[in-house]
Amino acid sequence: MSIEAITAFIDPIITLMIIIVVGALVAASIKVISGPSYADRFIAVDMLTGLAIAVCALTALSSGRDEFLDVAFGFALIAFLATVAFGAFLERKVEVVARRVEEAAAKRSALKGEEA
Amino acid sequence: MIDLIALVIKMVGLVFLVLATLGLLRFEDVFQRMHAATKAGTLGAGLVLIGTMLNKGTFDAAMTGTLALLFLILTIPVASHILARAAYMSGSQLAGIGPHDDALAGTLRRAVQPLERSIEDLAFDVATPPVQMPPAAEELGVAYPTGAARSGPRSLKDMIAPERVRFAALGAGAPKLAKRAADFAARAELPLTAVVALDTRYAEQTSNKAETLRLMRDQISTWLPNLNKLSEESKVPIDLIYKEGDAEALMAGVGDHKEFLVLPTKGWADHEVGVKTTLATREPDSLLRIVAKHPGPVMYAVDETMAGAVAVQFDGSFNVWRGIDLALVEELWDMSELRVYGYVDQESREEIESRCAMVNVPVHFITPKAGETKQSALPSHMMDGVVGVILPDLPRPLHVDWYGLFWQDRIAQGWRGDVLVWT
Repeated sequence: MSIEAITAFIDPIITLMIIIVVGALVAASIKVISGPSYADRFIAVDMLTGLAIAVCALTALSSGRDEFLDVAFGFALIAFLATVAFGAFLERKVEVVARRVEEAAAKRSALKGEEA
Repeated sequence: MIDLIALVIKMVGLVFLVLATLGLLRFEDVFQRMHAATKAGTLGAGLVLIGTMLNKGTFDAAMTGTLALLFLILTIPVASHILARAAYMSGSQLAGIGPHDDALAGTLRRAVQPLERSIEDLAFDVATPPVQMPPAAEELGVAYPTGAARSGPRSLKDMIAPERVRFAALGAGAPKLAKRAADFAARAELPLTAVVALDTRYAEQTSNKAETLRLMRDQISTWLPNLNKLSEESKVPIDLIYKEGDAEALMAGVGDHKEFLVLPTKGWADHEVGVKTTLATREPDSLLRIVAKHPGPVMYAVDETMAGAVAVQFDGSFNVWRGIDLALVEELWDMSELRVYGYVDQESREEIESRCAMVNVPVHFITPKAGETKQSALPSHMMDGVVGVILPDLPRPLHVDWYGLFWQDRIAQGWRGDVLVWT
């Protein structure tokens, strides 16, 4: 098969690739919903942006519009900010929960003191 | 020609992306999933970008594509470092790493237990356990007591062994459960207390409180004579305590860590009268919450005493260590062998082997295979002839019936037997 014959198939191949990446997007979205932990969800969101960048690049090819590459660049920027924000949120959440656990323990020991 | 090269690069990128997603779904803990998602995911997205730029071949496309690629490569390491650090500090579990292998121990502040579990404990108003390390035999300074030498001054028996046995006299299965508790109490020469807790909270949830209370009292009076007969037969005096109130509070929060609590595996609090309540479920979930509220060991016992193997879900925590010790010292079961399931590091392995050798119990270690315990705590292939299970904690969430799965099905599918938990 000559090179020309293969290049004729490139467009359908790219469409097929987009379908596969969208399938992966759906799988990663399921992970965002199912978790089970906060960190799992955040990692899945991270993965979603990576897949979205790939979809954008492939769409730029199949539609012939360069603007989709700009969208991919935007996604790359947002992904960083989102992940850093999630990390900060998680660390703060740990502290808040630890404080609430301490408060609950103090309340419990105070109750015990009253009984005795 | 360049189209073909670009196509190949894109396909390779696509393969990486699909593999990364697969890893995200299949790997066991947060850090393994992160490893798949960030490394392979970035490489895949980057390769697809490069392929697109090659296809386009214009300066504009090359410029934006290169910028996006550069930014990805610059930021991904920083971002995943921050996320991994936060995940480690939040106490996410480390699958495949024993308690002595954690290279970061002492370097970073780490929560005692996963964040999600702390939140659940707060919701149930349960004390979060303080930081505890597995006890080494030399640290405790104990020789393992066997037979007559059991009552040595610094023996392990004094440290962990219960002094009293209390059991819940609930439901129609109570006489059989009482027999189990009496057998154990007689063997260990411990005083035995039976608590008949009439759950008024359950009665309040039914439409006719007085009628439900009458039904439950009738139910209790039918098997109370059997309990007396058993007391005479087994020559163990049974203290009978009858109380009405919140059954959960009556069973937990009374004893200290020297009290061994024997509970039924099902049929809590309604005494099997089966009156419908206004709640969506009348499943006795408080049965499982008692473990976290009672400071001593808790055994969920089935009706028959059986001899066979005992399985341990080993996670290196203090809870599972003292569970193993209790089972070995007190001979809770007629143990033919001990099966330890989990990632056990060399140090812990030798420790368990030496402890088992002292009481002549053969021990087998079973290393987990990837993904085999997604649905249950223990894989079903190791449950042949297992009569008892020692767990570091009950399977979460704490519901007796979870989407049609009985709580013991979440330990191992289709398995029924004794469960020993000490948290």
